[in-house]
Parts: sequence; C-alpha cells; structure tokens
Amino acid sequence: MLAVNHVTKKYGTFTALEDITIEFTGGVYGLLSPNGSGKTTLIKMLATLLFPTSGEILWEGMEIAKLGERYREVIGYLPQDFGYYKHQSPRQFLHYLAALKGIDRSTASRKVPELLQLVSLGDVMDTKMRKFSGGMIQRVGIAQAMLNDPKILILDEPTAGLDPKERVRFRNLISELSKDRIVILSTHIVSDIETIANRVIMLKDRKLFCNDSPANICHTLSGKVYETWEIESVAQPHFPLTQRQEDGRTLVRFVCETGCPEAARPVTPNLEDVFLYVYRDQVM
Amino acid sequence: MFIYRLELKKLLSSAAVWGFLAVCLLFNLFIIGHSVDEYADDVGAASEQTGVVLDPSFYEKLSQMTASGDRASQHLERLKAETDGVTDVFDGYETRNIGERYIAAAGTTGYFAEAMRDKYAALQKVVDEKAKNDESLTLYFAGVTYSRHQFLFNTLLGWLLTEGALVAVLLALLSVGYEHIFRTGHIVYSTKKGRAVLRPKLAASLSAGLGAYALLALLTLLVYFGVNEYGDVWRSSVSSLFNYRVDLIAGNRPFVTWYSFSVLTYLLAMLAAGAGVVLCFSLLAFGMGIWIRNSYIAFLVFLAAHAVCIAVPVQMPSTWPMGPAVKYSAVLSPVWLWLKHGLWFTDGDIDILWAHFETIGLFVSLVVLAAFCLFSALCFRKRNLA
Amino acid sequence: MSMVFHEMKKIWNLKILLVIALLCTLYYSIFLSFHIENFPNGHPMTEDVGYSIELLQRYGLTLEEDEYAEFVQETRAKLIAEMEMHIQSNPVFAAAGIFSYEDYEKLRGRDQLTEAENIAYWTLLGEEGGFAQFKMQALEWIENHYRHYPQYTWPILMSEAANQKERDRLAAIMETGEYRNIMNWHVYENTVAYSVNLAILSVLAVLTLVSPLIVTDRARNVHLLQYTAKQGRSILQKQLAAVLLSAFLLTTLLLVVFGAIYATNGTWVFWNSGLTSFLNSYTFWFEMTYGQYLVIYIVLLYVLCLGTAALAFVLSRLSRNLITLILKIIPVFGVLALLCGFVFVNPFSLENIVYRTTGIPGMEPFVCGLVFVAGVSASLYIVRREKKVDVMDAIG
Repeated sequence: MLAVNHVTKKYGTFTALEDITIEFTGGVYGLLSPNGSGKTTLIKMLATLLFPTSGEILWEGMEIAKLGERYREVIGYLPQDFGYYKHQSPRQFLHYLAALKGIDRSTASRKVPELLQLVSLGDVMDTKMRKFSGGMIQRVGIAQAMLNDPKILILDEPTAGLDPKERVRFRNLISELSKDRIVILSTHIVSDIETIANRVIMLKDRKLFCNDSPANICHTLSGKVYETWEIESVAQPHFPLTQRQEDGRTLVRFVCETGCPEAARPVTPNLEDVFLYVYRDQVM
Repeated sequence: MFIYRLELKKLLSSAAVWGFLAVCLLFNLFIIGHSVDEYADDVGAASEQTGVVLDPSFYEKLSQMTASGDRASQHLERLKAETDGVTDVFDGYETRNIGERYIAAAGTTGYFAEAMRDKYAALQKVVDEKAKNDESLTLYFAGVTYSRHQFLFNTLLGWLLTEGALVAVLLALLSVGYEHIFRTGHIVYSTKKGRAVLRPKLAASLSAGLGAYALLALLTLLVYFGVNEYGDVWRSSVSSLFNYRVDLIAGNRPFVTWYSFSVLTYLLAMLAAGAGVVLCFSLLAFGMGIWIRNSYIAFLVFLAAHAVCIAVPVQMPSTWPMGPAVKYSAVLSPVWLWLKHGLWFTDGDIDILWAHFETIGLFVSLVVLAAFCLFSALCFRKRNLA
Repeated sequence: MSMVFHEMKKIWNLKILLVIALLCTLYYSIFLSFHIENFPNGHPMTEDVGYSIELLQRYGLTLEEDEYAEFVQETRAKLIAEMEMHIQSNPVFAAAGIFSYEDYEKLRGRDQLTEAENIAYWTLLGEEGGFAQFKMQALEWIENHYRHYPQYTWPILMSEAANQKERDRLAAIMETGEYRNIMNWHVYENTVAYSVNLAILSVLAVLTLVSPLIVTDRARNVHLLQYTAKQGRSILQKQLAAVLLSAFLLTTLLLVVFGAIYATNGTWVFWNSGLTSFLNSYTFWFEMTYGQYLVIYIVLLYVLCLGTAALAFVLSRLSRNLITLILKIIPVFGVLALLCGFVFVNPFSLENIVYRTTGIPGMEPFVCGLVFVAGVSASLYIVRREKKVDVMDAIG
C-alpha cells in the first residue's frame, strides 16, 4: 500500500498542497483536477522528485525517502513534459533507462522489443526519435514507464498527443495493467478515466476535495443535472455545463440546485458534469 | 559499469567535441610548424653519435665528426664553439641570494620570509648534489636549449593543458547537464539508480576529459617529435648548463629541478601533472554543473571564478594582513598551477613559497575538489527537482 | 519593432549580464588596469611625456627648428640650474667631489663609480633630486630624435623600405616636414595596448551576451510556437535584428565605460597631433591625427562587434545545445582575438601585420568589414533558409 499522510508542500510562502491524505491499495486512481491545482506536485512527490515540506509518504509502511532505490525500483513514471534523446532510437533509449532501472541486459533485450510492440512501435524500434510524431513519443514514454513491471505506475497527463484511437487503446492497456498494481493517472481530461478509474481523487484549493468511486462522485449531483433546448426559459439560478449545436438549435446541459425546471429534462450526472461544476469558480 | 559506458557514449557521440579536438590539433600543428629549428635538429642528430654527457669522450667524438654541406658544417662548427670550455654552472652556485631578492622585492616578512629562505636553503642542497654529479654538463640542445625547452614545455604543453582543460570542463558540464538539456531529468532521477547516476556520470566525465587530453597530447607530440630530431637529447638533463630561467627579479639563473630529470622523464612528469590539473578542472566543473543547471551560465561562472582567483592575489595589496597568505595559497589552486606550468618541478618564482608546489597544489586541489563534488552530489540527493 | 525589443529582453538576461559585468571587471583588472595605473610607466617616460605635452602647449601641433632650438636651450638651462641648486644644497654631492653640473656629467660616462659617487648620481635620479637627471635624459631623447630623424632615422627607413609605395610615403613625410608633428610614443603605445585589449573584451562580451538566444529558444521548442504565430518564421529576422542591436548597445556601453576610464590618462591633449612624428616610433600611411585614429578605431570596433554578433547568431542556430555552442564559440573567439591583434596593433602604419602580410596599405577596415560581411551574409542566408525548412522538433 502507498500511503500519503498529511502531506503539505510549500515553496516559501506559497502553498502548493495542504494536508493531503490518500491511500493507494490497487487499481486505477484517477487524479482529476484542472491544471495548476497541485496534481503534478503530488505526482512528483510520489516519484521522489520533490520532498514534502511536512507529512510523509509511505510504501508498505516505510518512508519512501528512506527506502530510496528499493522504492524507486517498484515505480514507473511518465512525466507530463516527457523529454527524450532525439538522436537515439526508442530501442537505445529504453535500453539506457532499463539499465538505470536495474534491469540486466539480457532481460532488457527481451523486454524492450516486447514493450515497443505492445505500444505499436515495433516497426520503428530503430528509427531515431527526432522523426517521431508527438503521439509516438508519448507511446515511448508509456513503454519506458512499464520497463520494470512496476507495482506503482504513475502517469502524468499520459494521453496528451494521442489521437482518439490511441486513447482508447491506451485506456484498455491501463485497465489490463491495473489488475495487480496501483495505477495513478493524473489528468484533466475526464474521458481518460471515467470508464477505467476505480477511484477518482479531486483536489481543490490545494486540498483534497474528494476521494471516491466515480459512481459515488456522480451521485453527488444526482437530481441536479438537466438538459434543455430552451435555456432562455429556465428561470431558476443554474450553472451551464456543456452545450451542443444541432439543426441551428442549442442543447444546454446545466446544474440546477433548486428544484426541477419544467422546461428541462433531468439526466444522469456524469463525471464531467461534476468536474465542471466543482471547479466552476476557477479560471481554467 | 554498463551505465558508465552509456554515459561515456553520450559524451563521445558529440560531434562538436571531436570537431573541437580537431581544431585544437590543427592549431597545435600550426604552432609546431612555426617552431622548426634546423640547428636543433642537427644537434639532436649529432647527439646520437656523441652522447649527451659533456665528458672527454663527447669532445673526442665531436672532434671526429664531419659534416657535408654548408649548413651542416656551419652547425657543426657552431656546436663545437658552444660546447667548448663549458663549466659546471652548479659548482659554487649559491641559491640563498635568490630567496633574499624575492623577499626584498615582495616585502615579505615573518613566516613567509622564513619559508622562502627555507626553500632556497633546501634548494642549495639539491644544487650541491647536482654539482657533485656534474649534472649540468649535459648537451641538451646547446645554444638553442632555452628556446627548445621553452617551446616544448612552456608553449606547447601549455596549449595542450589549456585545450585539455577546456574540453574536460565542457565534457563534465555536458555530462552533468545532459538530462537538463534533453529534459529527461524527471525520468532519469526517478529510476532505481535515480540521482546516484551522478556517480557514473562523474566517472564518464573524468575518463572522457582525461582521454581527450591524452589523445590530443599523443597526436600533438607524435607530430612534434616526428618533425623535430631529438636523437639522444632525450637522455640529457633538463638542468643542463645550456638551460636557464629568465628571472627579472633574481636575474637569469640555471634551471634547477628538485629531482633529476632527463628530458624524457621531465616530459612524462609534465604530462602526468598536466593530467592532474585537467582532472581538477573537470571535478570543479562537474560540481558547479550540479549547482547551476544552465550549462552556459555554469561555464561563464567557471571562467569568472578562475578570473577572480587570478585577479585577487595579483591586485591584493601586500599590506593587507591576509594578503600574503592569500597570495601564496592561491598558487596551489588549479588555475595558478596552470599559469605556472613552466615552473613545475622547479623552485618556482617570487609567488611560490614551497618546494614541490605543483605536487602539493595538485594533492590539495584534488582533495578539496573531490570533497566539493561529493558535497554537491549529497546536496543534490535532497534537492527538489521541479 | 516591439517584437525586436521583446527578443532583446530575452538577450539582456540578468544572470548573464551579471556574469558579463563580473568578467569585464576581472578582465579590466588583469589586462587593462595596468595601462591606466602605470601610465606613464616610471622614469624617464613620465618626464618625456611631460615634455611632449609642454611642447604641444607651447608650440602647437608641430615643432619647427627655431621652436626646437628655443625649447632645448631654455629647458636645458633651467635643468642645469635646478641640478646645480641640488648639488650646492645637498651634502652627498660634496662628499663625492661633485661641485658643479660638469662634475656630475662626468659620472655618466664612467663604468665604475665609488659608493659616494653612486649615491650622488642616484640622488638626481630620485625624488629627492626632483628626478632632474631623468628630465635631462628625456630632454636628450627629444633632442636626439629631432636631430636624428632627418639624419639617421629617415635614411634608414628609406633604405629598409620594402617597396616603392613605402618610399613614396617616406619621401612625402620628409618633403612636407610631417615628422615634425608632436606625438609621444609612450602615449601612442599606451593607447594601442589599451585599445587592443578593449577590442578583445568587446568581442568576448558580445559573444557571451548574444550567443545563447537561439539555442535557448529551440531547446524550449519555443520556435514551434513562434513559427505558427502571426509573425511566423520572420521571428528569426527579428531575432537577428535584436542580436545586432544588442551588440551595438553593448559595444557602446563598453566604449563609454572603458573610454571614460582611459580618458583619465589625459592623452586627449594629443587629439589633433599627427601620428607620424619624430617622437613616435611608427610611420603611418596617412596624415592621420591621434583623434582621427581614435574615431576610426571606434568605428572599426563597432563593425567588428556587429560582425561578431552575426557570427554568434549563426553558430547559435547551428548548435543543438549550449555546450556544443560553447565548443564552437571558443575557436571563433580565438580567431577574432587574433584578428583584433592584427588590426588594432599600430593600424595604418608600415609596421602593422595586416599590411605586412598583404602588402596593401589600409586593409585594416577591410578585415573588420570581412568579418561583418561574412557574419551578416551567413545570418541572412540562415533567416531566408528558415522560411522554407521543415520544422522538426530537432534542429533541421
């Protein structure tokens, strides 16, 4: 179990995260918040790149800072701004990272091509990465995160640069992988996690806002989300969520805290509704 | 070990480094080309027949030598004239005055004056030993010894040292800054090896730097000794009576080394000490690179730090209480060792207080800089990597 | 235009500026301060610079025969009177058996002096004796040079002249009496030494300041954003403009600061003095004054620094990262520093290296111009090429 206990992170007088407590036991955890909410700070602390100002992060009861390489050998990390050696091929790059991850050469020789096949880069294993598209680079990043078969897979905005087909493939892959490990997926794209996350963690105002199953989170807006083609006729105070154009008309989906407007049709709230509503007062 | 090899490969695969080494080599070849001395070549060739010790057998063989052609004959006559009636410069040579002149010129007092006197008292013993062994009665390059010695040991080795140091510094900065340049820091430092990757990086930087220096030295000296005929001069003592030091304060004086060096062993000692200095610069640059992520600024700060190290002792008024201490200890720093490379293994000059200053300086610098690297790496372990 | 200023803000980065300021201070301390603190450098240079200034003030820009005779006579008389006064009043002279100037004069020719005579001799060379003997030496130096120029110096120069051009120039100097200009060689050499080192510093500072811009932008992939913005690929044009403008400003700053420091040497009194002079060791191709030489130097320095900036721009565009940039800059700096030595050491004189190598007088601006043209053409080519090049994430 990976436990984050009352972790606070401050930079001088600026507080990035305050008193965060979360336990990760297994499955996919979606870290869902707008940009700048502290997701990446938390992720980097889990990846040992940053150190908490107060509080502790424990892996199987021991502080990760003290565990050092024993902790790092069970994590796989894909950063948000994934850098790479442009003059190398993915095979070369992964071999280097495999060495850093303590994987012996013969094992790496077997694993690297396997992983590259898995992320559909089998044909370009030996092509220099300077020629790759953004999506291909991202897939290299996913492959390297899995090199050491990590018990904790930490992915920061992993679907950036992936096309819809790749996104679906990625979601399926994560779902598969999460069977016997912890997957922490940080994103601001709801569709990335709404079908695969076992739990969704939302941060607001630097603090933990909620840590629950997607169903429970959606339930918090139960009976409050509506859709209508005639938004002008809704008199009650409401908060618009999304809208869609069709045949010159606009279908507006909105939240209304007070009662059921006649002109609108109640709908089942989804995670995106909750996301938009929870963060409505933040500039996104 | 494998990670070390991969880190080394990163450095060796930089075309710009090889290009720079090529430019350095070309420059070295250019200055070698302009240093050819035909008389010296003839002396070198002659030494193979006569030997280099100026004993009766030398003069006998010299007198039996013949030369064909105007130039060769002129050179032979010149050699005979120059070696005629020479005496051991160390016989009755007193070193005490050198120390006194230095003390007077620098206004040194107290401990420093005593240390200077002690140095020259110790040198006297060395000189007496050399006098006993007639060490100065060796040929070297006869009348052109000074220019030949200065060209090889001061000019050429000086440039090699500078070039080697520059490449080593830039390789160290490249190695330690590699992940910052390619923005791979987050991935690399969160692996099992993590921040400890600095160890193989350091090893790779130092090996690459020393390797570049060695390669440059090898190629340069191959050409130099290919173009210049050294013959048996290799075995000549560098403290030959024909060699001297230009000293504006104490007056021109013999070239006295603490140990007895032949030209060959002196060259090897100079190259080894040069490698030590290159190592020092490499360690310093690596340590600085840990603190300053932008490698351009790190390089500028590196240069500025050394410029401060040069300027402060020079500009410091000797009346300041810490003045002499700063001035004399500064000589032990890598940059001053570099500046004074022409005096390595000798008694030095007015700025040098201790015998074997180059050895002491290298040892102190290596220890201090290794500690600095270690300290920097330990701090890096605890640093937040945003 | 605002884009250019925006790019300049990136160039004038505080950290780099601080380091440059530090480097300039240290460079000044090691290479330039000597020429300020030690000017004139001891004796008799102090005296002969003093006399040169006096000549300038009394007789204007040239020293005619009658003026020369008058000066020598007056000054010698004054000096002898001064020395006599010291001889009469200071007991060391009597102790050495010196009772008049003639007695003192006799010491000069002698190899071995007694201790008393030595003390007496050195007294007039020291502060105690008002450096009178140095003054005398300086006067004699002026006398020798004025007399010797037409009699010995000029004929030797003529006989050693390498070609007809040199002979023609030397003939003109003799005909017009140009050699009678009053221009002191310690002053000239001091200016040359300072100017060469300042030129090298300027080149170094410009290279340091402007080089990182393009590499840094490309490292951050800012170029991708830039290229797709309205400005598009002409951003590189703006960056080139920013680079050149920055070089211009930096050169101006350095000239103002280090020029002001140099002005404290007081050599500007020679502003209108012709450089070809019986008191100067060099022969110049043109009838140039000291002031004109300084103005030309400043112009050439600007040209060289702008060319340097353009070269830095090119190198920056061709470098994948800052380390490979530095590896390219170092040899370029070496060459440019060497060029500074070639161009700015005794420019426009028969002794200048550029003339000695090419055989063509007045090539010094050409060398600077060549650097400028090479740098700017390469930069413009890069800018034009950029309009068409495929933008990959890496350097194309």
